[in-house]
Amino acid sequence: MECQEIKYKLQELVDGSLEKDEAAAVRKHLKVCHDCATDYRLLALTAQAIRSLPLAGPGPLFNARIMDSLGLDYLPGRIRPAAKWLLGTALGLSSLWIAVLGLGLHLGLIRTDPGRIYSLAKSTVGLLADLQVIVIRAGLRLADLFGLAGKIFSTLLSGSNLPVQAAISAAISLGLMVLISRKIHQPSNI
Amino acid sequence: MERAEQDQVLVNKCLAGDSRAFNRLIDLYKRQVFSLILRLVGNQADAEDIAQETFIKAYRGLAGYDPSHPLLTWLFRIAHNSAIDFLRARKPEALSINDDQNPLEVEDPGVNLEERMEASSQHQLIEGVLASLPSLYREILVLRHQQELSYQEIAQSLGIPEGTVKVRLFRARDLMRQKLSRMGYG
Repeated sequence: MECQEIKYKLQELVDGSLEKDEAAAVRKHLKVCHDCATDYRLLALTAQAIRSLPLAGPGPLFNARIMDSLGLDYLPGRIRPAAKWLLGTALGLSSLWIAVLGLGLHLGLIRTDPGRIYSLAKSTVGLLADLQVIVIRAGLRLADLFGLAGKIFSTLLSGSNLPVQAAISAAISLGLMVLISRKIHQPSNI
Repeated sequence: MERAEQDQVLVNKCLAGDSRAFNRLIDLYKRQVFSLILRLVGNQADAEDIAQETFIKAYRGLAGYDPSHPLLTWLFRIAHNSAIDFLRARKPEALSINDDQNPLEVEDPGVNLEERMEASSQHQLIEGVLASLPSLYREILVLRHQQELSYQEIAQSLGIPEGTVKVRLFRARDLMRQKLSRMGYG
C-alpha cells in the first residue's frame, strides 16, 4: 500500500470504519512507515483529545429565561427530601425562636418596674446581659410549656410536605404572637 | 426506558402543555446544544443567546418534530441554523472554510510540547488548536468526536449530504494534524 493511499485510510482507521482486512493492512504499513505512523498518531490524538474535552454549560438563569420568553411556568427541579426537611426544620425553629424572644421580652418588661428599666437603659452592657437572662428564662419556661405541643407539631411537620410545614410554622408563630399581644394589653399580674 | 422513548414521552407531554416536561427537556440537552454553539460562535454571551433562541424555536416547532430522528439531532439542526444566521450577519468571514485563509500557525504554547500533551494542559493545547480552525471545521469535529454522532446523524444535524460530512471531517482532521505537526508535535 502506498503512503498516498494510506493517507485516506488513516482517518477511517481513526473512525473505526475500516474493514478488518483493510485495517490490518494499514497497521502493517504503519509499522514500517514513520511518516504515516506519525500522521496516524496525530489524528488519533486529535480524536481522543476532542472526545475528552468537557462540555460547557450555560448560566444559571438559562431555563428561566427560555420559559419566561415562552410564557411558561418555570418550575425548577423539586427540592430534595433532605433539603425539604432541613428547610422545614429551619422554618419551625425560626418561628419558635421569634415567639420565645417576643414572649421573653414581654415577660421581662412587664415584670420590671420603670425605675429598673431606666437604670438598665443607662448601661447598655447591663441591659444586654439582663435581656439575655430574660430570654433564656423565658425559653426554659416555654420549653416546659410547649414540650407536649412540640412533640405534636414535630409529628405533624415530619409527616407533611414543605408548603404544609411552612403553613404550620406560620400558624404557630401567629398564634403565639396573638397570645403575647393579648397578654400585653391586659393589666397583667404575672 | 431508552433515550428515544424518553424523548418521545417528553415531547408528547410538552405538546400536551406540560411546561415541566419542557423544562426537563432543556435540562437534558442544554449542555450539548450550548457547547456546539459555543464552538461555532466562540463567545459565551452570544452562545447563550443563540442557545436560548434554539430552545424557543424548538418549543414552537415541536409539533413538526419527526420522531424517527433523534431529538438531539433535531435540536442540533436548529442550533446550527441559528448560529449560522448569527455568523452570517455578524462575522461572515468566520464561515469561510478556505484553508488558505486559515494559517497553520497557532499560538506558541511556550513550553515543551511533549510535556504539555502528556500533562493536564492537553485540553488547553487542543482547545487552542481547535479554536484556530474555521468554525465549520470546529463544529464537525465536535459533533463527531465530542458528541459522538454518526456520519448520518451529523448529516441530519447540519442538513448536508453524508459525502460532504466525510469530506469536511477529513479536511478538518487533516488541518488539525498539520497544525499539531507544525507546532513540533509528532
